[in-house]
Amino acid sequence: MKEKQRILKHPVLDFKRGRKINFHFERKGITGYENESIAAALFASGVKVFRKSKRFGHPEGWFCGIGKCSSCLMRVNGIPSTRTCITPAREGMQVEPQSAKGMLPDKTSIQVARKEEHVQVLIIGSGPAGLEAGITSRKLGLTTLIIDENPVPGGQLIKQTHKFFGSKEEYAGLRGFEIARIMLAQLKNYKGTYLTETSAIGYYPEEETGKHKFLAVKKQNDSYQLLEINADNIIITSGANENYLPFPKNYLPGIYGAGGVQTLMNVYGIKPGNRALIIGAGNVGLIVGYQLLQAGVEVKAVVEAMTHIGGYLVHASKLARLGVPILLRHTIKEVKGEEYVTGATIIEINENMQPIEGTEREMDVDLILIAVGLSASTKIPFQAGCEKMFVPELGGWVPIHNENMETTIKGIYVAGDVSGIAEASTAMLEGRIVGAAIAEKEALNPEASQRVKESALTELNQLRKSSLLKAVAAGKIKCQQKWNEAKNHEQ
Amino acid sequence: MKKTAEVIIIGGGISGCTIAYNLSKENVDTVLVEKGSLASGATGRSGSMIWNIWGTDPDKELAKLGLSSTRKFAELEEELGYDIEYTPSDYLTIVTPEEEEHYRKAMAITQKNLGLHIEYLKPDEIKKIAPYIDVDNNPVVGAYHLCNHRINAGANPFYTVEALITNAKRAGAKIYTDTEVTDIEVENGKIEGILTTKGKIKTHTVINAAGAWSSDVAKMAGIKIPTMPYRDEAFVTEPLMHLPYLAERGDIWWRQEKNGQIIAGEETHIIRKPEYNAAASLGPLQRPIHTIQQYIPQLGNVNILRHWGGFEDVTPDKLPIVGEVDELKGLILACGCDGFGFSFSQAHGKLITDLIVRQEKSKVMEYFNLRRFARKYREYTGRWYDWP
Amino acid sequence: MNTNQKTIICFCEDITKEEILKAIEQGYTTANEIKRHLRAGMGECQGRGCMPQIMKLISQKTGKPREEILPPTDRAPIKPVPLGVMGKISKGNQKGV
Ligand SMILES: Cc1cc2nc3c(=O)[nH]c(=O)nc-3n(C[C@H](O)[C@H](O)[C@H](O)COP(=O)(O)OP(=O)(O)OC[C@H]3O[C@@H](n4cnc5c(N)ncnc54)[C@H](O)[C@@H]3O)c2cc1C
Ligand SMILES: Cc1cc2nc3c(=O)[nH]c(=O)nc-3n(C[C@H](O)[C@H](O)[C@H](O)COP(=O)(O)OP(=O)(O)OC[C@H]3O[C@@H](n4cnc5c(N)ncnc54)[C@H](O)[C@@H]3O)c2cc1C
Ligand code: FES
Repeated sequence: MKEKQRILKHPVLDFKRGRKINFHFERKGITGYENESIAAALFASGVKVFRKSKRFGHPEGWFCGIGKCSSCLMRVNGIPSTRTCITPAREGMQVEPQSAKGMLPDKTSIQVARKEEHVQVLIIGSGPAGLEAGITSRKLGLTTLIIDENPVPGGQLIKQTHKFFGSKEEYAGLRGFEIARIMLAQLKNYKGTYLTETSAIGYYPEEETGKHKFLAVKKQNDSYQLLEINADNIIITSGANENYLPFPKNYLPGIYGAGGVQTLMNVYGIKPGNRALIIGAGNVGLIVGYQLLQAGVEVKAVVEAMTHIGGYLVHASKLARLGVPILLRHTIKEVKGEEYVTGATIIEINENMQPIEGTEREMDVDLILIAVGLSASTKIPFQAGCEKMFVPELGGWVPIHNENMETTIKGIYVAGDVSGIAEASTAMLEGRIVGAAIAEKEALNPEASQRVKESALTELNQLRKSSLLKAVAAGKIKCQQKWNEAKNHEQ
Repeated sequence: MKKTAEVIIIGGGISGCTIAYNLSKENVDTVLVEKGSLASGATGRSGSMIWNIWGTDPDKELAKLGLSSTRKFAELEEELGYDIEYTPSDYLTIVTPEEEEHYRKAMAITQKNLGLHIEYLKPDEIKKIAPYIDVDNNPVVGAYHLCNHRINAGANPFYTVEALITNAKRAGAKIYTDTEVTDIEVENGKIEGILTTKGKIKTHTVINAAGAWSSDVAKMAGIKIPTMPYRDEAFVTEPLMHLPYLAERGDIWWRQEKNGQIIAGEETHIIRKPEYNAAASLGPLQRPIHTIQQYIPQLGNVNILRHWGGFEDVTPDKLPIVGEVDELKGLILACGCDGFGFSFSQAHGKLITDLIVRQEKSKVMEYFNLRRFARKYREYTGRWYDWP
Repeated sequence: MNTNQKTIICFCEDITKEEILKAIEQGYTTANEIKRHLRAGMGECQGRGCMPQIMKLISQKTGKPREEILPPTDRAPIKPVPLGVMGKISKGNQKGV
């Protein structure tokens, strides 16, 4: 098979592919590279259909690319329901598609090591919020363990090739992946453990003492490590999930979320398609549109249901300059294709969001990118039992938290997108506030800690005066009021 | 909300819903009140395995009653016009050397009481019908094999409750969910009505089908009953292709749902602290996880998707409490269903309906009456267990 | 390969938008009820993709404000974990949340 989908030249990124490897898919040979996931290698070789759905037998393919959606489940070396998008491809692997349900695994053993950890601070997630919380808490003398389920630390940052907006102090002006590199270098100045490919799987406090305890699982090749993490404080910075969009045939391979597309092209250097249609003109849609152009994909149009562009004008003009039309008050009507997308029909809509017949337009595309907003990724705080509230300004349901970012469970904190959708600068500031607040509480360097916290708070409030973050500021105040109510109620 | 009712059922689990269906089918003016949503108690959290609970009991009456409940389940889909994901399955109970004697006796009893043919399989024969069970590396002397009797099965508890309630409503029953019963009004030794968070309903007959909460409900009417809530745990895996046998080893149970997921847990018989904290707990799942992995080693590599806890109501002698209360005639108990309430539900519904509609009391109703716990009746059924 | 015009909300269990709307009409108006009635959100992805959409549809269809439509219960494990790994937890931890 030809590797026509691989990006060989990119204006910003330089892909260092590992050694070539070969594995088997449906008994055919597939070539991939070391450090590449099975799904990415398959995609690069032109395999677009990964499974048939359970009930209707629909073709489905790559979607989230980060092990969350289950669209890529296959039988790998005799083990059913393997998430191939996060499983590295290895020499000689046997990969088979599985129809709906898995057969029993062939393997009769599983290698698991158990390890117990005791730390003052456990940080779950290593995006800008988690990394900054880590840097601050370590700087102030706390023993800190950071875990992230991704193989590469940095959260959203590593997938971004554009120069960030936000505050200079928080590295605005640099490209996302560069910010991640700088922050990681800073973190390395202090002692502490950092684990990748490690998923937090649940909060299980000690029965007698009520002490915090999280379970996490690290996967290493074919074996597992089960971590029982006893922590005095927990900072959850699990980021955000993408919103989906319901429309006819939305299951077809070729329709992907923005994150999945970014993972393919900016992490693995694989072109997600050749001609794209983007749904949603918020910052994510606009930025990924530009990234698609950088990767050599033709972008046919961006459609947006609203009457205005939600994202920054800088990003919109960049696309416009390159000849990409941004069609306001338009939506997707139909998708063409049997095994994967071969075209789409878009349509104009009126002020009541109803399609106007006769305005249909055919689009010759093989990629439809959905960028219709994010919601906080709250499974971890909600499973732990943190109280929640619906705050439209923060993107939906979020854990209730106070100015120190503490939830309604004492010693459990949140920071970044999981506490309300915002942006990277404020995520870092929130991370810094939590780190300092914990150090202050644990009476380590109380004066220094307080100073760090106060100055971060001042800066945060300043940033939130900008037009884009005003709503977030209002949402955060609602949350803090609710937190106070909950605490008064307790007493 | 309705102002009066002939009969009010408290609790919308499998017991309450089956009773509501059976009563309304016989034109009894029935109201069911549930504090959460239907099946939100033990029912929706159960493994919903259906088996002949007292199949190996020396008492023939009990054995037959259990069998009648499982047989009724087999007819339920047709009767209710609903897919409840009823999945009959052949059944294997794996027997270890220490248990061999016990199982041989139990088998003989079952055959005598119920006339069912039961086989005893040798390890090689187990391999033939269920090759995924690792008989070589486990202390297996044989298995107790029940097949083709449409006795052992499973069903989806939510769909079952939904089917029952849809039919009950059609027959005129009124169902109030998200409505908690807060008090039972008793005047001059007679029930006059109930108070709920949504208003008052007059009645002279209250059925307590509140499962793990049944002693709290009985207390509202001034009656003390010895049911205790205790927690049980279960987990479910990702779906797998069909494995042709339901299997069990000792107190560990597992079954495959219609969609291929394996659901499993352990009958602990350990009475834990009475408390109603239903969130996840892993400790008690260690034994079922280990045992299942030991007997079907391949499952070690299959993912668990969720685990949870639920509350059962246990009695000192492990038999349910069914029937009228001597001191307060209008209070009818339908609780104490322990870890078998799903299987028992169809018999349960019939016993209560016979009592209310026809004033019929069979011999087993005597076993099940609350009075057996009064001091002078203690040795009544000869089944007294240690009670904290 | 079976391709048709269906709009899918829950990809793991293959539940369509039509089915969700019908269930809401029948009176299943909470996320937990829809989950139990249709199995939406009970599959391998643990409801990550479909639940926010389902809550939105309930709000649209019933006219109830979004804050009244509660998210379904989040249960551990929050990621699928092999049975053999779950079985390794230390015995001391007898109770969780
Ligand atoms: C296309 C795009 C462009 C953007 N551009 C900008 C910009 O120009 N300027 C700007 O300021 N912001 C921008 N943002 C927003 C910014 O990226 C986010 O606000 C920021 O990354 C949030 O940081 P975070 O640390 O909260 O979460 P994330 O960066 O999302 O990190 C969360 C981390 O948690 C990990 N995690 C989740 N669950 C678990 C678990 N169970 N166990 C272990 N680890 C877990 C994840 O793997 C991930 O690494 C952009 C976002 C997108 C999508
Ligand atoms: C993990 C687990 C696995 C199990 N597996 C099986 C199995 O495989 N097979 C089997 O046969 N059995 C099994 N069981 C047992 C079975 O689930 C129960 O015996 C059965 O569901 C009991 O049904 P019920 O209707 O009596 O009680 P429940 O289902 O508990 O219903 C009682 C209802 O009463 C309501 N209620 C309580 N107080 C009030 C009030 N004041 N006002 C209004 N409503 C109130 C509650 O909300 C609840 O919904 C299992 C149980 C558990 C926990
Ligand atoms: S889980 Fe692999 S593509 Fe989403």
